[in-house]
Amino acid sequence: MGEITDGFLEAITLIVTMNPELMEIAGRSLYVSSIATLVAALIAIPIGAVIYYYDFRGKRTVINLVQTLYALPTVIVGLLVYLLVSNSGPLGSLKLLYTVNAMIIAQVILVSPLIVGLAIAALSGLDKEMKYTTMALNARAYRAMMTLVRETKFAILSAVVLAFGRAIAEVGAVMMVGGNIRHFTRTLTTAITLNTSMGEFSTSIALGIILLTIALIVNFGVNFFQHYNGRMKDD
Amino acid sequence: MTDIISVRGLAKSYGKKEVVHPLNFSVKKGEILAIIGPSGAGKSTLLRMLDTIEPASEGEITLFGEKVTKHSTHNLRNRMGMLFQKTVLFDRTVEENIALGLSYRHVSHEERQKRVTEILEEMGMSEYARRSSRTLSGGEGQRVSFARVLVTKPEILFLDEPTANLDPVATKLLEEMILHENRVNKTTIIINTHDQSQSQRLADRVAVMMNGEFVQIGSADEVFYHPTNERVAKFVGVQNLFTGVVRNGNATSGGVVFCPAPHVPDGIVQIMLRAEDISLSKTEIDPGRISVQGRVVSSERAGAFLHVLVDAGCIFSVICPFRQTGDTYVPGDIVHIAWRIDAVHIT
Repeated sequence: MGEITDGFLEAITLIVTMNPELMEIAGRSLYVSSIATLVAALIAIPIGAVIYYYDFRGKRTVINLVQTLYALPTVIVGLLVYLLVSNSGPLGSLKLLYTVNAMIIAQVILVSPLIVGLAIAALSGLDKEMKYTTMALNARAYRAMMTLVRETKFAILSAVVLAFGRAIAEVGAVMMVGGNIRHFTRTLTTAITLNTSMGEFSTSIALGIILLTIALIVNFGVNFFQHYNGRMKDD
Repeated sequence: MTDIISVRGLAKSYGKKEVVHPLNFSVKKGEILAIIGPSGAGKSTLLRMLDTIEPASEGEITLFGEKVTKHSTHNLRNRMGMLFQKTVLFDRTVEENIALGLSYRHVSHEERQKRVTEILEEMGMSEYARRSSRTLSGGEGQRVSFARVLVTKPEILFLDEPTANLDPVATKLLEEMILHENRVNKTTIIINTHDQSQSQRLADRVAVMMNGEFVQIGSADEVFYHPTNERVAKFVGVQNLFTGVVRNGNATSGGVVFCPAPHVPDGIVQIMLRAEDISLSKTEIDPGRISVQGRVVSSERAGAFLHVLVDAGCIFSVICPFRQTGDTYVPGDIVHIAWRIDAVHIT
């Protein structure tokens, strides 16, 4: 019991004094997951819009597949990206293994399906007449999609924030392709794993508090956007 | 006048279900055609196919003399517009909503601004320009949607039950705007409606659509007073439908002589008589008309009207203004009913 209490006290000291290594790790985590989420959103929102907009054979199957990928195990993504960027892999020459960029790639793959799926769900919530109206007003497909995505901005933003939450909280993939190298690829989650296994509970708890705080802010963000989205529908 | 829309064998199926059976019709430039029919008759699907936003399963559509193909739709749509039953407003200001079609057409910013201001002025809605579309009432919203279509200067307008969700005042305003657009800009209009009086107010021709086909197409008078069959008659609100016979030049049913029918061959016929064409009185009615005596079966008020059922051999449904009659008819009263010979329609 004493160990845990001590750990908490020390953790608070670490946070209050803005321990440089702690801040560096937290900053890296935020950086990796923010970039990954941004890149994923830029890829996934248009894909979601295209899947929603066009009617094609096997559309239902595609949507089911995307939804299945929500639960994609992080270690599988880690393995996949590892194979891709390791020296003998197809992208081996880029020397990405154990870099921040490899971690970003892994997180992009991890959260893209979530954004694609939730974007489709958000767009499908629009009245059919809204799509018809853009067509009747003679919008080219990409303009129509932009108009419709803009109509669902709050729902899609909340999907993006949710994706960020998944990215920053995952440990398996970044550990495998980043390697948890101190001052290089160590993030909040990999640092917690390492410190806990070494018995360094105070650092783990401090990192955990930071991670939870970020998760809390993320959750506030999701609620905020969903509230806005709900209010729009009520009107 | 030339045909601006012409349709040959146009049909639509979803899977195995055919919702629009092969249709052939044409519409002249500047004409207003109303399509009336029950929900699920295929009216909306038909309009979407004509506006080229839904592909047809079979048949061909010719618009402005040009056949609709996958490649021609974009250019054709530039000259058409469509308004839906459900008001569609984007979460932007009123002027941004109205400018949307113009921005899709790459109209310059200045030109856009000018045309949006003009149309808002024309509609007396200038003060709405910067308001959020979310603050509009149902009628205002539908008028803004209509403005968004009109500002693109369509030559053909497709209106899919545009007033179905509106109150009577908003309906009247929109109807006036529709007529104005047709009279001033000679816009060809096809309007779906389940409001028959609306089709009479607006349309040059009325088509009755049931189960995916046009069962009758003609002037409003033809459709409402001379329905081609019982289904149409029931739909257009002919309450008095009797199976009768023509013999010796008279059409009769249930012992009642409805009218002389010298040109109809003897045999079984359908006799139709609109409830509002029958007059009701406690005393003998003027002799220029067919008159029979009967007994009141029931009498109930429907808004400003009185709906009376009279048993005179057959059960007649009679509608008369309540103010004229007062509530003086009770079941059992002996009354006289009468109608003009030309009010009777025989098929």
